[in-house]
Amino acid sequence: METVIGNPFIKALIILFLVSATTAAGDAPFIISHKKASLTRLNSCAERVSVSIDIYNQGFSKKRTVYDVSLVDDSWPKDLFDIISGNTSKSWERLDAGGILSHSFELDAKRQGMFHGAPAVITYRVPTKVSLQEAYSTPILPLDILAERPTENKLDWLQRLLAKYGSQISVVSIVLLFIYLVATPSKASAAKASKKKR
Amino acid sequence: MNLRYLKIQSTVLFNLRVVGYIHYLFFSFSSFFFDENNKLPEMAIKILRVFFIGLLLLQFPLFQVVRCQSETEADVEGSELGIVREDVQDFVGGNFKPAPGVETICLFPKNSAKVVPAGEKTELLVGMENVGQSPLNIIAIEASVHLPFDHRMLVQNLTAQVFDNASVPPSTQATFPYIFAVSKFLQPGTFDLVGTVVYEINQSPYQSTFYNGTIEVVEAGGFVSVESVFLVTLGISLVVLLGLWIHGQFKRISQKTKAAPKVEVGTGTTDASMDEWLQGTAYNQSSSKSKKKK
Repeated sequence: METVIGNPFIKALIILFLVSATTAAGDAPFIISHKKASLTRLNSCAERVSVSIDIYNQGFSKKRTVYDVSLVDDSWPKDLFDIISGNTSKSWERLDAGGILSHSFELDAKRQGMFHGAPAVITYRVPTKVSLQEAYSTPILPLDILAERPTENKLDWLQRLLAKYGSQISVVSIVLLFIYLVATPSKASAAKASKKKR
Repeated sequence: MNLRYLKIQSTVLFNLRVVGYIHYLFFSFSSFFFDENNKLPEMAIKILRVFFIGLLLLQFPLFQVVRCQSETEADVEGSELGIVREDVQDFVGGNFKPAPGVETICLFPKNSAKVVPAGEKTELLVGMENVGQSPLNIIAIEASVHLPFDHRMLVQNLTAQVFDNASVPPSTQATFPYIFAVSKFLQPGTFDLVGTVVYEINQSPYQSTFYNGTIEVVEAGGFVSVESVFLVTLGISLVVLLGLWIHGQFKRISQKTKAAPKVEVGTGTTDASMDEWLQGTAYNQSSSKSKKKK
């Protein structure tokens, strides 16, 4: 027994086994979730919030399917928001390695002010572990609900348009102007041609 | 980055490009139209001359001297997710070791080829897993762009995103967004992006690299751009030139073959008495008189 363990190859194998056991955590699936919220102004006293959540399954091993994926987004209080379409929670049976799950819903904002949203919570089950795993989505930027929009000056709008498309417009106009100049016959040459015919 | 500097740079570059393309337009079209085979009426030539001189004169106000500016330092913007911490400056830019039991991963959402348009916002998601027992507080995410073949050569330090209230509870995974924009003037190509996340556990700072790989920088721009329009017009003008030249060659060859049967073979020997036009003239009368005398 002593000679077997004393063998340097066996020692190396034991070390390798121990090292691989500690780094086995890298094989676990990594659930990355992206939460996006955008505002659309309906009229001066109503604003619609469109929320979309994407869930990705990343990780370093190929066999990282997760099961019983459940998404719960309780960060929208009932007294500030009304659910128009969709549901703030959803569950799926499985998410394969490298797959995407998407969910979206719409809310109506009632009160004016700054709103700081919390991340959505995703729970899932992994074959290798007993307990339910938890993952948080990205936090959203503070939403300025029913904010007073400053009236845009006509000049600013024109300047912005010019900056965006100025180079393209000038190029196309130069080329078109040139073609027009060359293609249209001048009046003097037309008169000469008619004189010659006579 | 200094926005004013970028604006000046962009106008100067645009002016230089316009100057260059005006020169190019002048030379490409002048050879095409002042061709011998294609004579233009005088008035059109006058108009064209005025047009070209006008184009050349237009360039002078566009000439500008480009002034160099030193490398911009990485600046820490005020956090969009809350109030900036007072001690953030101590952490950003420092070199800390990664904490054991913290896993990081990076994902470019809906962008598996890692394409980054120059000058436009690109988003990437950083996943953090806290395997330890105490909660983790994210301080900042920062990144920098390097040359692919020499990692020590820094191309650009990207703006650091500071977090105020971001934490990862124990035994959970969390995702954080990082939006960045590479300089608009960066040449398209492959570059190295190194992204690190600075966080603290129990008041001690740590730093982990979540991404150390290549990104593909491409030029942001629509289909109709200055270069594409001029390329297309150059192509068309070259094709038309070629067509004209072939047409001219064709005409020349066809003229030669038609003229061949018309060439006469010099003057042949003709008998003077046989000519009709000499009948009734002095020549014939004298010959008939001489005949009578005999």
